[in-house]
Amino acid sequence: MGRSVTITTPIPTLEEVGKRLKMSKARQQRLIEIVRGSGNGQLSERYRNVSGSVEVHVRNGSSVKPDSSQAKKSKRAAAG
Amino acid sequence: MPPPVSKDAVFVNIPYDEGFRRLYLAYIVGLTHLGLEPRATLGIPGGERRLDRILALIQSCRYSIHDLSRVQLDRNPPCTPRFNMPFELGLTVSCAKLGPGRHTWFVFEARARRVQKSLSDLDGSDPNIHHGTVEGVMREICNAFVRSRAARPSVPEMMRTYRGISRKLNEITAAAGARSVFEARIFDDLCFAAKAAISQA
Repeated sequence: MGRSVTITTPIPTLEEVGKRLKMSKARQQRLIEIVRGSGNGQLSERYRNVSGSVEVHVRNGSSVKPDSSQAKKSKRAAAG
Repeated sequence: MPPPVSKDAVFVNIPYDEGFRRLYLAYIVGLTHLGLEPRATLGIPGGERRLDRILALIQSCRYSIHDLSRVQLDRNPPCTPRFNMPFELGLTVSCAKLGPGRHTWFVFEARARRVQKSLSDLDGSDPNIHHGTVEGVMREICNAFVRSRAARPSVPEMMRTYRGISRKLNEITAAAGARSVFEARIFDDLCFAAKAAISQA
């Protein structure tokens, strides 16, 4: 039984992992979208504001923009 | 003639059932974080050739982890213990003895000193004890597989990835049209998803 081993091989890239697993590009993209938070490859973040309603912000690159469709939904829910 | 050894491949010998779901995901995420390639018997169908294929899988991996924490009787009738893990450990030890330097194996357990009773043939060797927790699995994987300081992930980093993937588990399973996370296709998807989450961080 081993106690510990030292790993010196380079860490594979995401592309290399996809290739090794023989995954199609479409399947890889689908999984990336799931992991990164939204169906369009963007990461969405949810915040609960002071009035108790939920705001969803979509992170696009480095900027964070409020998701207007989600904001409208939560306002409607708060009003109703 | 044994198959060529993949130097980053780790044969993961664990129980495949709902009670082990969290630790199953922990092994996938932890090993992927270390740049290793988890491999499992999930894709191997039953039948006469299953044993040959399990042997070939073990021989193709440079390392293996054998989790012997499942020592309880299976609740589903007929109530039996699970012998697959110790059996595949036995196969691995034989392969390692017959091909010195080709394979390194590790035994993981949830409780200290239990292996000395459940598998006393391993007396004198220290298993990695994970206490049945995800964090414990991450910690022990890091203890077993050491990378240079620059490439070494921390356990909190691994836990963040684990939590991210855990939240997406149902979505990943549904996207593949699978009924359980213990299917070969989902195993591959989880390996890729873990890598995608790590690359994004």
